[in-house]
Amino acid sequence: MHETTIGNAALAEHAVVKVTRAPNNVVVTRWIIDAARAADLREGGGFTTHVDRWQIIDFVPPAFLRLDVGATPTGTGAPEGKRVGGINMRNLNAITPETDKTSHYFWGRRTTSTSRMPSSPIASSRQIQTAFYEDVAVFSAQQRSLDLIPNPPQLDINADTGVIQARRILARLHDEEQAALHVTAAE
Amino acid sequence: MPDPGLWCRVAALSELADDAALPVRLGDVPIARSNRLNGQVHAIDDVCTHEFALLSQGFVEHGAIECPLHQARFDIATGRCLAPPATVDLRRYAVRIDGNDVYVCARPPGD
Repeated sequence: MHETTIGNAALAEHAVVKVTRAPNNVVVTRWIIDAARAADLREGGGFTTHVDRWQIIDFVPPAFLRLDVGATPTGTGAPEGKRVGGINMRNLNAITPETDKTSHYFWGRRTTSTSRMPSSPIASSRQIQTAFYEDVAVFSAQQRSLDLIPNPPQLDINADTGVIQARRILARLHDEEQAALHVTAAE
Repeated sequence: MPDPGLWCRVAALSELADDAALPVRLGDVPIARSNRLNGQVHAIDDVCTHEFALLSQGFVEHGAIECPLHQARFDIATGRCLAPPATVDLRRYAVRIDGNDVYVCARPPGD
């Protein structure tokens, strides 16, 4: 979906994904080792070689997603914690309902780059915005489908693990909140 | 599925963790995966018996593996189904350790 910006075949087909969870937290970690660089890394990071790339998505309820994404030239130790000569971006995404079918999506970003070529913050921001508007197109299409067929049967695949775990946390928190309200009302 | 009498090297012992399941393949067809529990290595099917979900991407907790999609749970040592929506136990495979090499055989442990 984001093949002109932050995505490419390497990310879609070869990433190693791990999901970890805690009672009120889900973390999805994705690593791609020695992969071709996506457009955002060529233009925003100045990479000229293959990269080791990470995406760490940290969900905290009710709807906060903290992203730690970046890349270094391959073979420089990124999986072991060495982020040298690369680019690192930290995102905070905060989502809150607007209507029962729309949401406000607030986001902020900080980028550091230690690559030899200077990164272009404007170009990088433009790519992120492009990717987000691509997401909006997909969400809008999904909502139109849901409007046509409410509560359709759902087919889950392993790639949905992070989302499923996040929804379970929200469902539990909602039930706990409702139970507390009923206790309060009864008193 | 390979010959039930054939032992296949599937992993290095050093690759196994206590809190995660390593996906491995036994031949080209079923997927047997190994994980280490209290120092013992076990191999059970990687596909949940409820729907097609890979258990190796699930959650290893308290001696059980939980399906990442619909929360069925299975005992890692015995393959026994512990929680719905699955109702069928997982197949188990014999495991042999030789140095740092883990071998799995397409027959149940003890056969």
